[in-house]
Amino acid sequence: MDNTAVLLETFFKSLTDDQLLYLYGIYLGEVPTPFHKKLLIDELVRFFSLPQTADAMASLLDNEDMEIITLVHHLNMTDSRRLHEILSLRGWGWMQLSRKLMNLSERLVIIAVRGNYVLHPLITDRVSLVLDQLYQRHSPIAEPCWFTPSLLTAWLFLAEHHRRLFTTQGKLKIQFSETVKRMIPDRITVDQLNLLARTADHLGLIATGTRELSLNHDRITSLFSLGEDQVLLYGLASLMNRSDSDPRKLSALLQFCREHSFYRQDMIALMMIHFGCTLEEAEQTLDFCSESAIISCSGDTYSFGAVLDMLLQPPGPDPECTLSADLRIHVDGAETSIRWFQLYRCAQLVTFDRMAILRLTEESVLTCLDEGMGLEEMIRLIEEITGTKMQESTSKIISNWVEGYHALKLFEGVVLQCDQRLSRMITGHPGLSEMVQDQLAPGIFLVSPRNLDLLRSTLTKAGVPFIPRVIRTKSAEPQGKADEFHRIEYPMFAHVEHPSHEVPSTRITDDLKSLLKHYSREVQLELSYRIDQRLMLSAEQLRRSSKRRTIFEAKGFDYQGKLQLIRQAIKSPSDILELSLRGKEQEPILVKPTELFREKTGDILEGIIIPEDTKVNLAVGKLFMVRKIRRPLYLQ
Amino acid sequence: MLHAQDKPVIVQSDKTLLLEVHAQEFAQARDDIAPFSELIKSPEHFHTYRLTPLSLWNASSAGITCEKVISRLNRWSKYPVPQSIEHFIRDTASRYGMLYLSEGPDGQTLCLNCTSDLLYQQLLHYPVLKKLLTPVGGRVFHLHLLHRGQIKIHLIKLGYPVEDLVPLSKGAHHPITLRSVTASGREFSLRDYQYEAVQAFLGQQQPSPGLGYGTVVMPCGSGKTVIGIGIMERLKTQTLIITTNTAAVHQWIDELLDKTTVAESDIGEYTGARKEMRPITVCTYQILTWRPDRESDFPHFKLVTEHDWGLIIYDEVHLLPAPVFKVTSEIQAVMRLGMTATLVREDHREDEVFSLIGPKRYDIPWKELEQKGWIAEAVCTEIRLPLPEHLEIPYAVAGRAEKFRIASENPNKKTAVAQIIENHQEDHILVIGQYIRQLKELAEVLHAPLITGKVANAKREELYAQFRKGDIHVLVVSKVANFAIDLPDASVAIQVSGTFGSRQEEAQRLGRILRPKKRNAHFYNLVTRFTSEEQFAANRQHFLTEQGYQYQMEMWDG
Repeated sequence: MDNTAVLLETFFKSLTDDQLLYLYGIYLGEVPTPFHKKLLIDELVRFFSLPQTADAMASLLDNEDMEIITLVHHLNMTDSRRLHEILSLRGWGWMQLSRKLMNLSERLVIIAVRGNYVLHPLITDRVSLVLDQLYQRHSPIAEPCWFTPSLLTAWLFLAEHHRRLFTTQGKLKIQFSETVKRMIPDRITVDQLNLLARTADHLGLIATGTRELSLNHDRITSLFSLGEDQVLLYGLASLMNRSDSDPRKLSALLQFCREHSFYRQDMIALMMIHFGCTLEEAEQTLDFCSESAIISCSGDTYSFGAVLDMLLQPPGPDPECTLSADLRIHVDGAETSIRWFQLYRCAQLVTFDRMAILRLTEESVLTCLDEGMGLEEMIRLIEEITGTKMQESTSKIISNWVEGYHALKLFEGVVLQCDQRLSRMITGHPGLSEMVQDQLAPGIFLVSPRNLDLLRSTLTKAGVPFIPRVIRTKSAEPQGKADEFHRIEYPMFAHVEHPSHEVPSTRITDDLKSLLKHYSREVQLELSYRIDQRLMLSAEQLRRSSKRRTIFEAKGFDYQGKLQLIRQAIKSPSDILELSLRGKEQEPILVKPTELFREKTGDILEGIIIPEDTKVNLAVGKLFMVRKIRRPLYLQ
Repeated sequence: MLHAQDKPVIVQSDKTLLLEVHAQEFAQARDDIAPFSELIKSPEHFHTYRLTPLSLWNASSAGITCEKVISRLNRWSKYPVPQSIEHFIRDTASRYGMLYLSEGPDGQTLCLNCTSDLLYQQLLHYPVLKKLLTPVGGRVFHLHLLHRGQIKIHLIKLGYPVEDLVPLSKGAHHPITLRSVTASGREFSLRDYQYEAVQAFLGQQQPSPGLGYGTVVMPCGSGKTVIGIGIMERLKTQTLIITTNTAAVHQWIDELLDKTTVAESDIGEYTGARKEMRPITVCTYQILTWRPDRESDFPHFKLVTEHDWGLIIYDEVHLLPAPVFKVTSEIQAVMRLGMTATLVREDHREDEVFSLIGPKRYDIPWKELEQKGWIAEAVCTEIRLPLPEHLEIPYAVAGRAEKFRIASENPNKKTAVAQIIENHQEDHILVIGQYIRQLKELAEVLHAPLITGKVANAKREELYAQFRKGDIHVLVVSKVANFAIDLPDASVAIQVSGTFGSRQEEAQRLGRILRPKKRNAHFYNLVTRFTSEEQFAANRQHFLTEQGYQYQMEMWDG
């Protein structure tokens, strides 16, 4: 059994007997008695799995149908409220949508599964369901997008090397605004910098539970192992959909938006479709994104153009990275994040701009050693990044720093191990020798932890360079798993080819109506209604349905007929009424009648308007048309 | 058309322009951006230029509009030019021409003209200017001729350059012609870059307003003196040359006699030893700033102010002493040429040099001249030596300055110097240091003559002459030989100690061996390991590494 049959069978099985028989009656004619439910379901499944049935269903879709089924297709398992939320942006009323949903349900174009709609699978193959037909595109806007993986990296650099500038959550301390602006000249505002911090926080790049700002290096490494476009998606998704970052949804939105802009309402609808957020959330997100220049806003249209431009750029050549004799590393190219990230442990950021400049310093190199990277590994890394062998003079400078670093080690703040030269100094230097409690072995001394600060300052004064090391505090809370970032399906920017949808053909309707003359007037009335409702798909279906004799509709001067239908609907829990108050020009309403009583002015129908659930009293004499219908499927 | 990725310039938001040296269009891009930006450093991969108000105003004065500047940047920039930079260029360039100086009603008064009411009002309320400027209405101020330099400095600090339209004095005429064959018998003409420097200073024809004053920055040994002579030849006017010491005075005189047709009788020496005033006079900063006591005036300033000079040349302008700043501000009507290899002042008064002498008119990376063979290829080596054990504790307990001295006078350096000299038997070697005691010891060990400030000028010149002739193979010198000493055959310099982290000193000392010669030049810097000298050495090398020099590092056991 294929998927279509499975879906249909599941659906039919979920119906009450009333509903099932109602559908069977419409599409396959009189129900055999006694009936076998399983056989009826099989017959219905077979009928709705036929290609010609699907062709006929597709050919009867009008523009309003297309709007709904396109959304149902893109929203995947949506309910009527969600559809209304989005379609209301296009001017749809609740009643209008309800009637349309009821009709589409009866036509089985959409199928309700546990309160959510899905599209009949065979319809999906037969019509174009691209959002383009709903949302009007405008010309592209070329606005730069300030958020880039490089900027996120720059923030990580700053956070790593200048943590005193930031709070533990990564927010810039206001007194250091100018300092930071000098480091990132004119590229980014303080607000944007703080947004970057929030992004880093949402992405779990900031360690929690520490006394000072501390980064979660495993998560950073994991994120940056994905590549520029992936980092961009994660970062943007985090910024845009702040509470629930899902880069896949952003990717889908980008895929749709491609290079064009949209009216505000359309952009909000698109965000709702792709992010699955509420109207309010979408509005807030759009405002936030346009304020922070993630979405470009020009006049009354909004665009993702610049972001897409960045993603669409073909992978450029490897960033040019050079190490000069003055120990400066110049990193050129947009796709530099990973390189910088690799570098940041041993080089200090001097400038972040179109070209980033870093500098190897004694402090940064020794900090790197503190983190467990060996000298050879560090040199190899730099050589790999620059693509050239490190100059001998540079490697000797670094080696010299490292030698000094290894000459003196302090274990647990009490045991001092040093080389011969420093050992001589410690024993011979009056200030230092005083601080030694005992010499455990040649070059190994016991010192008092209480004198630690004094020891350090005396060593520094004595000319033994004491490099203030960065103490990495591990987060008290468990860190996110390093493998949490997954490769996201990259937006496919080529247009997906769908068969284009044409305006519904009137040929079937006309053909079917021409056959009505063979039936009695009562049957004609009923069948004509069903044809108008596009419930009739073939002449054979018309023939089978014509055997039913039940009267469903009374209008005009048929006052008794109207009363009769109202009474029947009150008695049957599965029947409701479709009422037209003043002729055909007014939209009919759906009412579940609860009581019929008489007043001086005449008979009064008391009922509840569906789906609004509001109580109403209507004079039967003022009803132009009363039609009894089986409670629609979507109102289950 | 170049693909964006192939373009050689990156315009940073901090107003620096990074020019990729290995790019195909490097030379064209450099020629395009150099007129409106300053070369900051030129290491091996990227040259750094900076847009400054001064560089943009210079460009404006040379007729390069802000639109041209922006279009050149757009042409060469790999990435879009930041909007803030465009704004900066437009804003800065628009200030040029808002103030201009013109001739006043009499010979002692000048007019400062203001093109904007707002600026005029601002100047009226600027306290320092109030004393120097007299408003005469119509957005015009009068000022005394002597205050011309001062006013310019103040206004430039306010962010408004003054376009000086008062014609510069032509000075008394004095004919001077370059020889095509020097007196010593060699063919002679200006090299390309020397010719470009002369053009940059004077323009194509006679100096137009905005030209005729400024600074030329060129590496040591690249022939700055010849540029000075080239300018003198163009102007044919009486010239005062101020240089650093008597030996340099004599070198200037020798060069003038060798390369020009000026008669010896027309060249005067104005030093402690001789006081000759001639159409071309060469003097020292020292004699100009001499005075009997701290309260007295400077009696020799009249040499500058009371003669009708058409040109004043400030040799090694980075050493310009403070009193000379003052006198220079009073002689703004005279053409002024500053020359240096390293416009780096440890007192950070580079801006004042620019304001009073004039902006940088020409600059060329050291390595470029090295590649073209105009200066010697130099191999720089830093040799690190251990401190002897017996000095470890004295070093550890010493104060900061004393520490540096102990490290600098490391006795192991004597052995190292001897070893280097042995490795360079064929070379002419200079041993340069800071501390006289150390130098004396070295001279003794090496059996080499020593030149310090205490050695009489005559004796110094005799020793320099012997060194040039090759009679002396090794010369031990103190900082008196840092500047302006021309020792063409010196090919090895061993620096045993220096003035803390002075960048210009290191560069100038390297400069002593940069005269082009058949053999490579070697510059050795001896540094004591694990001492503060390492850090100072790194600072000292900063200027040279930014010029693209690479220091080989060797660890010696001592």
